[in-house]
Amino acid sequence: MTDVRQPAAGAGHATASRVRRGALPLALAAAAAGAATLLVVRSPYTPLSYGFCPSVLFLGVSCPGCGGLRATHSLLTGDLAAAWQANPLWTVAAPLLVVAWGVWTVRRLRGRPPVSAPTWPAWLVLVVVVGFAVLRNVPALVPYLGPAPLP
Amino acid sequence: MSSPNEPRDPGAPDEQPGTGPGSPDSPSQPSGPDVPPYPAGTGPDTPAAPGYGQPPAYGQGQPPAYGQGQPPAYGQGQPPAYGQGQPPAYGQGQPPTYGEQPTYGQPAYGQAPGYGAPQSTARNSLGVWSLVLGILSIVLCCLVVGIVPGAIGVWLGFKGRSAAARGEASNGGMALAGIILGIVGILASLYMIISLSIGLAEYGGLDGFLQYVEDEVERQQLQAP
Repeated sequence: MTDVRQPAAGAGHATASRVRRGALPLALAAAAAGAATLLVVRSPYTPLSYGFCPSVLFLGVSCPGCGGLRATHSLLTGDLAAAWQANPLWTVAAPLLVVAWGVWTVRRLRGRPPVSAPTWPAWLVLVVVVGFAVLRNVPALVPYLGPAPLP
Repeated sequence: MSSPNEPRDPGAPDEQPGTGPGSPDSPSQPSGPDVPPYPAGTGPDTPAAPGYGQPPAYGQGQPPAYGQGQPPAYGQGQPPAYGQGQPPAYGQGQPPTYGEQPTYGQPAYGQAPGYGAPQSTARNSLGVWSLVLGILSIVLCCLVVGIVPGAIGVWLGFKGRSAAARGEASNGGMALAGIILGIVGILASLYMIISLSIGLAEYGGLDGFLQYVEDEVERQQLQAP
């Protein structure tokens, strides 16, 4: 699992290793599909349908993930505006994550060597998420970045 | 193997570029970074071996291996070995070259600029991503959300550790920090889930807690002036 650089020895061996390499991406996709199905069937817009955010309850602040379930539900049902009002960061990040999963899966299935990616995207993600966490708790920005109140 | 010819043949590679018809430059330019690290005898340059192999000692397949491994180290070590004609010096330099070949099976690694360096930074992104996801798993530790970046961060952290052990990354400590923070984030998420479950059980489940919240709101509204 850790070594994805499997040389293709033969046709049968290559197919077997390809199945083995594709197990992890497929498992993640299955888990995500199950969660998505649950979110579509059981709407998070129903109050307390999935509990409540403990950071709001205990700390009184909205964490960067607050509204993520509602945003996912709205994205899956095609309501982009509602998703943006629930969690704008997740509305942008979720499609990017899907694209990243696709690239990772294709590279893994083809047995490509790991890329030597630059390090600045990771720091950018950290700055964006932490900055989003701070900004969405600024009272003046709550209507724009904070999770919209339940209807 | 006509090894006695090797020490007596020091000038051959230097004269060869002018006369050799095949690929004469590859043995005489050990510093070329574009030379792919084929194991001797398996690369595409092997058919050219008879071409430039007029001297029997020269066509043994060693010059291609000579031009690959660790160009700076070899370039420094070459003049005394060749000029003085010491076979032990030549023989000492070569086994590490062959020994490192299997670990760098991909040409992409052989062409990396830090190939001869003890620690490359080619895969440092693993450790950085591990650290960032470990931090985010703690930031996002409410309910289940923190488990996902925590698990990915721990996984990337172990990959970063192994990459650092192979010399492909220089931030093994950062990857270790990512592993630790990711585990902390996962534990914090689990603690949130368990404590909330216990707390909800005291109110008779979610519906009981909802009823309690409504009653509490009504009571405070009644008390309000």
